[in-house]
Amino acid sequence: MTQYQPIAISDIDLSDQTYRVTRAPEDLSALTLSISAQGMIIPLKVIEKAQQRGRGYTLVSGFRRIEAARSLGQSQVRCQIYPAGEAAACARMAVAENAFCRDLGPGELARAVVLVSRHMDAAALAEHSLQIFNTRLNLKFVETLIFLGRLNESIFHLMDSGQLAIKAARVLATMPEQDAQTMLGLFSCVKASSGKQMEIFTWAREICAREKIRLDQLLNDSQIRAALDPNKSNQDLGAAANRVRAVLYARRFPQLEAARTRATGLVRDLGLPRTMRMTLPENFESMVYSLLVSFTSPEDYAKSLEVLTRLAAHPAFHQLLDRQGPFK
Amino acid sequence: MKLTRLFIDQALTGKAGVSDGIADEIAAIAEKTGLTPEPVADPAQVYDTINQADEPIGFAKQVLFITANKGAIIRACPGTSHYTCCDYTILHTGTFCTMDCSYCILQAYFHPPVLQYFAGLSTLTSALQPVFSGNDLLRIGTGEYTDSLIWEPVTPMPAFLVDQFSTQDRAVLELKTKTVNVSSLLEKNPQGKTILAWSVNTPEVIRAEERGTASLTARLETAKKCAAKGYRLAFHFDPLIIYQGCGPAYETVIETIFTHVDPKDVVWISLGTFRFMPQLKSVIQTRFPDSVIPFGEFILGLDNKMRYFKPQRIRLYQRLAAKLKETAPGVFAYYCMEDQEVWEKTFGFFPGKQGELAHLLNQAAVEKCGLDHRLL
Repeated sequence: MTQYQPIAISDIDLSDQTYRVTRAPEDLSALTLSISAQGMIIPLKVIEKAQQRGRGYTLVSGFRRIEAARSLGQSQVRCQIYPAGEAAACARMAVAENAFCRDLGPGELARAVVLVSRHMDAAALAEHSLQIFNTRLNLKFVETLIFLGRLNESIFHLMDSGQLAIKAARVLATMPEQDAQTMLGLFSCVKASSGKQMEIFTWAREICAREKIRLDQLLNDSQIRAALDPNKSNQDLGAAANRVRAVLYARRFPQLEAARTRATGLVRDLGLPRTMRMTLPENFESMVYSLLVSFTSPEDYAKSLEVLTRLAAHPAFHQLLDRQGPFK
Repeated sequence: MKLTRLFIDQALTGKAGVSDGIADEIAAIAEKTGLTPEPVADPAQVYDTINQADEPIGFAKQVLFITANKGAIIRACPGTSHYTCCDYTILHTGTFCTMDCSYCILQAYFHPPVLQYFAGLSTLTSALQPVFSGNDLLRIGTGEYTDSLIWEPVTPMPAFLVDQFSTQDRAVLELKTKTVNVSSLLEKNPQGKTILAWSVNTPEVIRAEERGTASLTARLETAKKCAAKGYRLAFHFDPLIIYQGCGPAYETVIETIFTHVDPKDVVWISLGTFRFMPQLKSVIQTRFPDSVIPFGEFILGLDNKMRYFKPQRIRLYQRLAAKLKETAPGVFAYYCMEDQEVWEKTFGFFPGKQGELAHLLNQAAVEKCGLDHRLL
């Protein structure tokens, strides 16, 4: 039987985040104002700690509200109390309460699945997912999230913060545990779109396979470490991701990258005016180069023709087109 | 790979089958494979059996389905856009393969891949009749969708084709293989009209990537035997795999070939670096987890297939072109699906006109196989 009663906040173990599904609160000012004006409309849910009946509680729902109440200096909150034996029901409630109010973020969903999976096997969880998670989850996805949850708690934060997309998380779940931990370490230092995350995965794994090195050896390489260097003036995680990608790309496609660098240098040597833009053949596979010329008047056009004539005699132009430059 | 199931298209087992000699063909295959034929009314039963396996591609190599060719028996090679094609003609006698090469495109080409043998030798005769009496020179091969000679130990088809081609001078038959299955062929007199062609690679690549194929030495010893029996020869360096030390290794393969066979017996040699539909990559990674060939420096080619970055291709080709010129200057060498830049920077010319490469190959077939020169 559940019961409602006021409980001292000090009797609730706020360090116990077992039932937490939501992200850590960022701005609670509006909620604090609301509680200050109208009181706590919906009571919190707590469950008795197994060994401390009547004295210690774990919070099941209301993680933001209790923070707001504390910030208002309140010492007691009204709670719905569940006996220690109802942990499974509490897990489902903690999830459903959030999932039926709004879409869960990727990290929240992962955290929720892991929470419920402590009381229900993966197949049953998938089967009952609609009633708990307000969405259908297939068994494979459930198993992936459970695997990830076992791996490292930080994974949820990375998913919440957008540093680890679901797609990339799925790849993590296929990796040996040590490699997955290594990749998690990397993703905690960068922020990239899902597509770029997948490129990082793919290039890193393929470099390791080709060079027969371990993932941790690759990611501890001095160039990668330099790309991640927290002392860099620019601590933008997105910029760090781009630096890491650049290092990995150059190692995965060394000749292509070198050719691009040389070709870009030659284009720079041409000193084209702003009104002209040269496009190199994609991956240098075709022999077709294109030059976009913009002009606004017959005079402009005539000037462009002069530039084009000079271009035809420029050594860098010849090196580009006969490929001696980029393919050196 | 040992066959474990033998399915027969039920439509082949009726009265028509008996009168066409198909029943005898099926009985011979059943006897040689030692398997009990399982008639199926619908090919979907075979596809389902394969798809339900844990590893359908590997399992499909053990399941032989004898059926009729319901499409074109003779068809033009599909080629690919933007790259120069040799205008080959395909004689469609079967699909898929019992050997297991990591890079094999057939793994991703068929859904699911099915090891099919198209029974009915008389249908081949009928399809070839217009070719043999026509006014065009053709190079016809059975090795596009399957290995030509995996069928030799269990079917009469390869030897039958050798006989068929031996009596005319309009077309040359090319049987491409990585096997040494030539017993029945050695009893025939091809009259120069059959080219036995071996795909060759370095011993390292054969060991690592070509499960169940004959060794390079065995292939070349067999080629030597076949040349002595009047067969013409060809070699296909395809796919060339780029790896550390591959240049000298492929040069050694060229030298080894010509320590076994006389260049005068070799009609042509083709070169082609590894290229693949992007979807093959994940198949290789799943089925051949130790293979490193998907991790080369590939780019998306103009035909939407993955190819090695062009300077890498050119460097290897330059080396092999020079070696071929030095070792066997009289043998016509060509590229399978390469572009003008590659041809010019390696062979120094480009057969850019429509049908020009085909003409050069036909010329080689006229000279070395005795096709009618008036049709050139």
